[in-house]
Amino acid sequence: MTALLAAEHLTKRYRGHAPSGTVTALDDVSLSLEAGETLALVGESGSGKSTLARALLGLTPVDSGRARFGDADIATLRGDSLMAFRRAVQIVFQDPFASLNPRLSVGRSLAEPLVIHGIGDRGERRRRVSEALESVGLSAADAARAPHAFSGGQRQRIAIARALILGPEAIVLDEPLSALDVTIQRQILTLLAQLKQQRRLTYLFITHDLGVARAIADRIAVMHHGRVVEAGPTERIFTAPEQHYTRELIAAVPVLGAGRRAGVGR
Amino acid sequence: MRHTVLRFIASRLLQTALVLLAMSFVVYLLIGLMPGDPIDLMISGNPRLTPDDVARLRAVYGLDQPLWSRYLAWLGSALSGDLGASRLFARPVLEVMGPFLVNTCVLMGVSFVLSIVIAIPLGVWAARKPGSLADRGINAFAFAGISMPVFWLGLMLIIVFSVLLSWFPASGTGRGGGWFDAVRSLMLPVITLTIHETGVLLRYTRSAMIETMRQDFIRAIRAKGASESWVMWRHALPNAMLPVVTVIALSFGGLFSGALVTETIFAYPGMGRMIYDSVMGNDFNLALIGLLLATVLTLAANLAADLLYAWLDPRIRLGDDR
Amino acid sequence: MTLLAVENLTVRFGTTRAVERVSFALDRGRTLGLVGESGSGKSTVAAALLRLLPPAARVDSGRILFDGVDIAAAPERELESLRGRRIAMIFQEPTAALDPVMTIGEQVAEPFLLHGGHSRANALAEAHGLLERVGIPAHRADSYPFQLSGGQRQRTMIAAAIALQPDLLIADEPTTALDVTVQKGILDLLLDLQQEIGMAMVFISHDLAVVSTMADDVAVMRRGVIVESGAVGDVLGRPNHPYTQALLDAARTRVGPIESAS
Repeated sequence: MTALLAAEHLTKRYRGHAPSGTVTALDDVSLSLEAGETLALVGESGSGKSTLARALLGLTPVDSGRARFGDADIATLRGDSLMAFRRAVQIVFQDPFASLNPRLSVGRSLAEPLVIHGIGDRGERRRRVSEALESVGLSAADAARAPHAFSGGQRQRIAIARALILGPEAIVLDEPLSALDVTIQRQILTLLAQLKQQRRLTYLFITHDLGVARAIADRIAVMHHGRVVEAGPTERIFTAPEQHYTRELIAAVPVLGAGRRAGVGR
Repeated sequence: MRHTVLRFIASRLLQTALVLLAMSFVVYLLIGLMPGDPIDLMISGNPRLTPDDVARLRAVYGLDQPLWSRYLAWLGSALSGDLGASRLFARPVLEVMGPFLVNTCVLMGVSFVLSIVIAIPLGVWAARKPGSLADRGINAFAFAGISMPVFWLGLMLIIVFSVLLSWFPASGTGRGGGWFDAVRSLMLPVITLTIHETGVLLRYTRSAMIETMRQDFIRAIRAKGASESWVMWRHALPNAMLPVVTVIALSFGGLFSGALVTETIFAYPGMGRMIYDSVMGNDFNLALIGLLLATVLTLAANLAADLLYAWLDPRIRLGDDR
Repeated sequence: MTLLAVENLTVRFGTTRAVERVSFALDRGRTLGLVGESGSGKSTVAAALLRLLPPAARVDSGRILFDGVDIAAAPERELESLRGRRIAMIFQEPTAALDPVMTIGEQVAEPFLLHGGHSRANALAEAHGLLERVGIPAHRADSYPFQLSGGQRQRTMIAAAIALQPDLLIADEPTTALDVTVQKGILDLLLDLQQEIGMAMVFISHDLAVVSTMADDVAVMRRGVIVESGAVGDVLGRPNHPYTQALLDAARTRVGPIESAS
C-alpha cells in the first residue's frame, strides 16, 4: 500500500559555517507516513526534523532524492495537482504569535485558504469559518476579532482551525506546543487527538519533547544530525530502544517522581 | 582570515577607482556645461587681446575641441600623472592644492576629534536616565546643534565674538603670527563645525546606548555586582559603538561639505574655498581635482568605517553568518 | 540556618500585581524550586531577590532578608557588593546573557575584577580554572560567545556565577532554551557544584519534572501567588491545590498515551 507521504533518500546541504563549509541538514533520509497514523519526528535542534517536514511539503528543494505524495513526485506537481496536494496536506507552525497576520481578523485569516482555492461563495465561506472555529473549541463570534485579542493557546487553536478548513487528509505539526504553557499543551493535545479521530486525519508531529511524542504518536522516528537514527512503534522505542542515541535521549528526560538527582558525583 | 580582509580592501579600492572615474566624467561635464567661457574672462581682464590671440588661447587650452575629446585628453594626462595647471594660480594643480588641503585637514580634523570627545560622553550620560533633566538638556543641545544651519551659526559667531567682543578674528589662518594666532583664527570655524557635528553624533550615541542598555546581557552584568558606570562604559558603550562608528564615518562626507560652507564664511583658505573660487573662476583643472579629492575623502572614510566596524565586532572579524 | 527569607512580597507593574504576598524561606545549602507557567510571577520574584527589577516595577510591600541584610532597604553599594559575590544569578537565554563583543575568558574573570581587586592577570588565570571546572577547555577562553554552542554558553554563565563561591545561586529557567541532552549535563553540573560549594539554590522553571529532580522544597506559583508549597515529595505526591494537580496531570500526560475525550 502506498504511503500517504514518503521521503526517499532525501539529501540536503546548506553552505554554512561548519569547518568543512557545508552543513548537511538531511543525510539520505527515507521515511514514510501511512494514512491514519500519527508519526512523531523527534530530535534536538539541528537534527533536520523541520527541514524534513518542509521537504515533504515541497517547501524546500532538496539536493537529491524524492519526496512523494502517494504515487506522485512532489517536485513534479503543477497547477491543479499541486493545488490538490496543498489542500490535502496542511501545516501548523510553532509560534502562535507569528503565524497569524495581525492585521486581518481571525475570520479573514481562516477564510483565506478558501479564497485561494476558490471554494464556496461568501456565505459558504462564512459558514465554514464558523464551523472550523467551533470544532476547535472557540465560538463563531470570534471570527470578527483580531489575533492579538487571543491567548497563545487560543491562537494555536485558530491555526489548527485554519489547517482544517480545507478538509485535508494530513496535517504536519511543527512543534505546535513548544511555545505554550504546560497546562495548555495538554488541552491542545487532547483537541488534536479528538480531531484526528473525528475526521480520520493523519499527523506528522514534529517535536523535541519525547513526552509529547509518547502521548500522541503511534510511531516515532528519531533524528540526529540529519539522519533517521531509529524508527518504530512508540512503546517499543521507549521500552526497548535499540540505538545509542535513542537511549541517550530517553535517559536525558527528567522523570517526575524519580527524586532528586545524584549529580555526577565525585 | 587575513586574506579575506586583503581581498575586501582590494575590491573596495577597485570600486573606489571606478567611482572616481565616473565622478571625473560627471564633474567634467558639469563644469564644462557651466555658463562662462574662461576665454571671455580673460578678454574682460585684458581688453587688448586680439581675435588672433583669442583663437590661439583657445587652441592652447584645447577649448576649440568638443567636450568629450577634451575629457579624454584630460583623462589621458591625468593617468600619466599630469593633473594640469591651475589657471588662476598659474601653477601646477598639485602644487596649488597642497596648502589648501592641509588647512582643511586641520579644520576638519580638530572639529572631528572635538565633536567625538564631547558627543560620546554626553551621549552616554544622557542615556543613563532617559527622560531625566540631564537627558532633556543634552537632547535640547543636540537638536540645537543639528538645526542651526552652518552658515548662519558661523555668521552669528562672527557677530558675537569678532565684532562685538573682538576675541577671535573673523577670517584667515593667522599663520604668519605663530601658534597662538593660528589657534585664535581656527577657533570660530572649528566651533561652528563642531557644534553641528556634535549634535548629530550625540543623538546617535544616545539612542545606540539606550538600545544597548535594553538588552538582556546588561541585566546579567548587573547581577554580577557591576556598578552603573561599569555597565555603561565597559559593556554598553563597546556594543553601542558598532552602529555609531558607521554613522561617524558616513558623516564624514557631511563634515566636508560643512567645512566648505564654513571656510567660505570665515574666508578660511581651505579646500572648500579653493573649490568655490575655482568653480567661480572657471578654473577647470583645479575645480575638477578639488572635487575629485572630496570624493576620494568620502570614499576613504566609508572604507575606514567598514574596516573599523569589522575590527570592533568580533562576529564580523571572525566570520559569523548567524 | 535561614539564609533567605521572603516575607509578603508584593510587586506591581502599573495596576497589575505581578507578585502578591509571596513568602518563603531557604536554608543554607538547600534548593527551592519555584514552579509556574507564564505570568506566574516567578521571574519577577527572582529579579526582586537581587533588586534588579525593571524600572517600571514597584515593590508595594514585603521584605527580603538575605543573611540579615534587608535587600529592599540596603544602599546600592552594598547590593553591588552582594551581587555576583554572595548571590549569583544565571538566566534563561545564554545567547542573550553574555556580552557579544567580549571573550568568555574575560567575562568569567569579571567577578574577580568587580570584587576583591584582583589583578587582570590573576583574574584571567582564575577564569581558566573555572572554565575547566565547568567542562570548557581553557584554551577556548579567547572565544567569543557566538563561537560557542548553547550548552557551552550556559556553562560559561555558570562559571562566572560560581566564581566567588556564592552562598545563593538563583537559576532562572537555566535549561529551558536547551536541548534535552544538553539540559541533563547542565543540571548535573549545577548539582555537582552545589555540593562542592555548599550553596543554596532557587531553581525556577515551568517544568515540574525538572524541578522535581533538582529541588528539596517547591513552591507552585500562579498569577503572582504561591498556591502551594512544601517538600517536593509532599507537594507532588499529595497535592492540595487543584492547580498543582493540573500541572501534575499535564506533566504526567506526556508520558502515557492520550485518549481522545469522546
